[in-house]
Amino acid sequence: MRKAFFLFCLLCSVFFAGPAPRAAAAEGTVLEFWELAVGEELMRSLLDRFERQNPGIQVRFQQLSYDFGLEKIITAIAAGNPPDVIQLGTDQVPQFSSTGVLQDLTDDLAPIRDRYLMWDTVTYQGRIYGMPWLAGTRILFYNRDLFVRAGLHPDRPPATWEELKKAAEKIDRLGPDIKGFGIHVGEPYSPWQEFLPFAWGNGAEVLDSTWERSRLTEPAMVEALTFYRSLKPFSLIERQSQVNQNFTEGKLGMQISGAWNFRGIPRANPTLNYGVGLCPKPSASHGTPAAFAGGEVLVVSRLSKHREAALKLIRFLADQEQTMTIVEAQRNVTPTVESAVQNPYYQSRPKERLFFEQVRWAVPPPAHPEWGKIQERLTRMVEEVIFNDMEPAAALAQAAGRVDEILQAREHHGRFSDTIFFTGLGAACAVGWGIWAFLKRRRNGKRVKLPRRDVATASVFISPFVITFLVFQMIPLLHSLFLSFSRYNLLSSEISFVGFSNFWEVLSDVDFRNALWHTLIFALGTIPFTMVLALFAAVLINTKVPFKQLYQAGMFLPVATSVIVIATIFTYLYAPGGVTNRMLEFFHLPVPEPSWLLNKQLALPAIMVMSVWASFGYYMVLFLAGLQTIPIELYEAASIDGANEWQKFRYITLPQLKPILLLAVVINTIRTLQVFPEIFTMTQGGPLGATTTVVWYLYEAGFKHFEMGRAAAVGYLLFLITMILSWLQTKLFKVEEGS
Amino acid sequence: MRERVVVTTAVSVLTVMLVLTLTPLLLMFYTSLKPTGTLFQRATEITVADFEIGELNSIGGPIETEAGGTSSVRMAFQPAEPVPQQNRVVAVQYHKAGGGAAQWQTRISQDMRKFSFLEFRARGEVGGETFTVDLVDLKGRRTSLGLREFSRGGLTTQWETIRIPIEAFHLQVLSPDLPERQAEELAISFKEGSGTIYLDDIRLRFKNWTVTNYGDVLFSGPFGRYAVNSTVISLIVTFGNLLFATMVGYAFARKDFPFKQVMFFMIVGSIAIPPQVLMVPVFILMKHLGWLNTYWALIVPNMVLPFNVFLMRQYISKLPLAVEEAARIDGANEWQIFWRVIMPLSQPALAVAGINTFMGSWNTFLYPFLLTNSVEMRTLPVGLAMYKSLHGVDWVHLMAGSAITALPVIVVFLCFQRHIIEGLTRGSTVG
Repeated sequence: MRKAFFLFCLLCSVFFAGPAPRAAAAEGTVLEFWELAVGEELMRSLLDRFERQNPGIQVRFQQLSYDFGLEKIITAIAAGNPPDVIQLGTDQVPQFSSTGVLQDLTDDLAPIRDRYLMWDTVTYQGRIYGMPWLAGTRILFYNRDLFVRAGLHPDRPPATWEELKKAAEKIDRLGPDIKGFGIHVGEPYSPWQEFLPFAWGNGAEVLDSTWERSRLTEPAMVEALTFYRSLKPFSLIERQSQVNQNFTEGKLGMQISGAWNFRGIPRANPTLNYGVGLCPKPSASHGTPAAFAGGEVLVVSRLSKHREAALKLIRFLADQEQTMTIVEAQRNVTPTVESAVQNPYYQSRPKERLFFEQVRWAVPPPAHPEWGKIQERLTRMVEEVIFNDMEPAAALAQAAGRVDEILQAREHHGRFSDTIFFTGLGAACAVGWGIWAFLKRRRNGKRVKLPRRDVATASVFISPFVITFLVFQMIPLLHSLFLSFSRYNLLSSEISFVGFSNFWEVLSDVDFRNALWHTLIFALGTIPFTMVLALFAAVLINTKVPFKQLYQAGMFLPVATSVIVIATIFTYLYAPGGVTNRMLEFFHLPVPEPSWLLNKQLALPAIMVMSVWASFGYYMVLFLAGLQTIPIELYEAASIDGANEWQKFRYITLPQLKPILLLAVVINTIRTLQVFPEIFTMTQGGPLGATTTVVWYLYEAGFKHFEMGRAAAVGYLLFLITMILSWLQTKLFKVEEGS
Repeated sequence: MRERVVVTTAVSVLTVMLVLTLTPLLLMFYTSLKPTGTLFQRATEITVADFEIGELNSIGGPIETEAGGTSSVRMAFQPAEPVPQQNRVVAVQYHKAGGGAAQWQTRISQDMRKFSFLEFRARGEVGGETFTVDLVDLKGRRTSLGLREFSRGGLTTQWETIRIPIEAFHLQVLSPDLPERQAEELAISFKEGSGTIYLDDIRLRFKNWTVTNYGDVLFSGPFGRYAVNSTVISLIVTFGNLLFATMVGYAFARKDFPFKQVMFFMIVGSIAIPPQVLMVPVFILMKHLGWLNTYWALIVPNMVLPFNVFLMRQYISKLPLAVEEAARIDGANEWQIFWRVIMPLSQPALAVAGINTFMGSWNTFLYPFLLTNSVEMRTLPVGLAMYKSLHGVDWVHLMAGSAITALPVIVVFLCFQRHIIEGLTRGSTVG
């Protein structure tokens, strides 16, 4: 044992010595560059090229991804430690530029303005904050074989709304597994990204030019949404990736999608006979073939000390040579350099060349700093119409109300009196409790004087814990408490004291109450099942079955597996063509429509089932450990008294297991109240907010809307709820024990 | 007799539960061993070219002809009209003279280890060894098979399906510096002479099983480094917790000191804090400490986890006092009592805490993701998440990566669980 400890200490010292702080580069500039879209190997090779051309500059590069990268960028900015050059998605530019964390590049980029497209996406209030790098607009893809079968001309994609609808209708009649068009739902972005271009093409706008009111209820917008809904009967209603897949498999007539299909289709189904066309416009004489302007842009953070080097890097990367390298390797983006259209690559690929045409009609979303919140309302609005059959005008009116609220959100200044009152109350409670505890101890009299030796030993024994606990839990916790009383924009680092208004705001928010409700459903729906299943398995394993270890280990396996993996597997199990639906079909049971994770009623239960599956093994092992401490004599005595199995379980096992049962229930409660990675990976809080839990709400508030103060307040509310529930459970068990 | 019924029922119910529990995980392993496809829809072959569409008729790009010197290669589609339903074929007319090249090529960009056969339908009016089928990598290295080597009689005027086992090629020559055997192009090169051959439906048939996915994941990305990081961090955190959490648990269970109640209350309370609340403060704190992107940031805060303290305290307070008292009477000091009496007696709880900590530490995602920013410092789940979002729904590789991430924990659990049982029995005899 001692040897082992020594070895352990040795190991510790070796590994801590390992990552010694890197020596700062003695000469030259070191640029830090974070990127989300392209991929590690390719980027590194481009940067090597850059370093060779610019010997004084070294680039430290970090590959992130859209799923997780944003959070990291924001926390780095908040901590005052951002990289010099960052690649952002076009939707994030307004948020970042409005908070002043990016450098104004208007004058630096002026000389190259006419050689590049998509400047709208990097402009905020007339100033340019970034370099358009790779364009990702959307275009109409259509299946030529299905067009011929439906009696349509294979070289004439629909150019107007009416043609689009007719084509979708005709193709939809070809068979039960063939759909005419694909409508995107169940994701945060793709629903509005597909719908809004119809509105833009029809001359509608989301916001008025002063950003004071939304223009959602205007006739052009209602018309567009009404038309969009009219496509529903002939459409596959799914997530974008599923729509892409069905198109690739030849089961979908048309989709509006991005250049990544040029990469996906040849890989999976190289013989698919498809064509592309511009997005349809309202009618031949009216409107534009508008599309969504997405893509990647390069920005320089305000804190960067290497402005010139950073500019060199972004201009180098946006150059035709580099962007074409990326395009040829990935085939999923379009360069923003106009001259790239002359590149031989595009000369031999007319379909991909059409993207240059479409980019001219591409419209970026309004550069409003709160666009992040506004777009959520738009997605919700599209889903209300598509999933819930809400009247377009009603859905738009509802969304308009919420968007106006966001636009007119006034600065809250908490009343100081409130805060003083509540803080005083809290302090009084704490002091009261302290006095009460002190007096109680006094009254007990036994331990008034602590044995000194005990105190000395104890302080040695607990010191490592106290230190780490204070530094890594209590200080951040207090910091976070401080944040919950302030309005703190993560990006601009502006803090203003607002008292309790974060808490009031959260408590009065319908979305929060729904989130709370969903979390309670989740907890109440999973805990009993998990416990019963775990106890059942533990008791069975504890009988004289052979291969105990096999069962025990087997049922524990899901616990050992990363949640990310589990969520991915179950996403597939619940997919439209997945095993769950196949089994239902096999037993001639009705298959849910829309499919599980997109179904308002079924999404949460589906995740709950997964959660029970993934966690019951853990509690089973806890119970097994508990069961084996029950003295066997008790059972023997009971057998002699003629007790049956159930009676033994009821009167020996359960009471003996009570402490561990309590522990298990408390742990399970805490974990279910914090449910998050599953939601993050599987549904992102959707469809229609049906899987928004408290922690997801917190995450959205903090890392999507950058309102750390509100997020901290939610955190504290959750904390409070957890404590109350755990306390209640302890009481309940005690009461039962007493009776 | 009654006992037997009970055991039989228990076994059958347990087996059903076990099967249900394991199915999704087995699907993960099953998928990770497949050459391509999704969990259930598995492709058995990939069509390189069927000539139905003029411009996009091969995996990687258009089919091209290449001729040098006085040679010529021409291709024509028959029938020429691009009618979608029609079954078109290609006729390659070639004339090869002297030293120039004469070949017909198409981009495929595939790892050849995944395939068992190359298949195509062909007919021709020539006999003898008139052309070779070549696989060419990015740098132009090639492996060829002559017509005679895969079709004994050569081509005839009748359509025939020709199957070439991939093993017949010398795959070693393709991209020798990479783990995969990447073939960039498939080419048909002509020898001296001239003639016409007709081709249709060129396909690559997948193998049934393959372990190449594991190789791809391990060697094409820095998964090896991720695994080292995960191992180092998880082991140190686990052993640290076993020692320190037991020390603290012991102090809480047996000693009396000021603020004990308050501290215990805070420990239990802190288990309930959603980690998301602490994200920003912790990040800022780490920045001030200069610990960003180091092992320190991932290890030190987790060295004594409140939950383990709670667990050890609960367990130790249930231990009989008699043994400790006896040791104390024998003159043992506090450390000896702790190390010689409490630690051994706590083994069952230590096993639970150990496994718990190891798994938690191995699978944790949020903090390693936030606090590291280079490939060298990433852990497996973070690496896996990156891999996932960069490779979309590339199920086979994703499942291989998942299996790599999950396996160590499974192995550790299988090893530890004997200790649990052993510890429990010993613990109960002492009690």
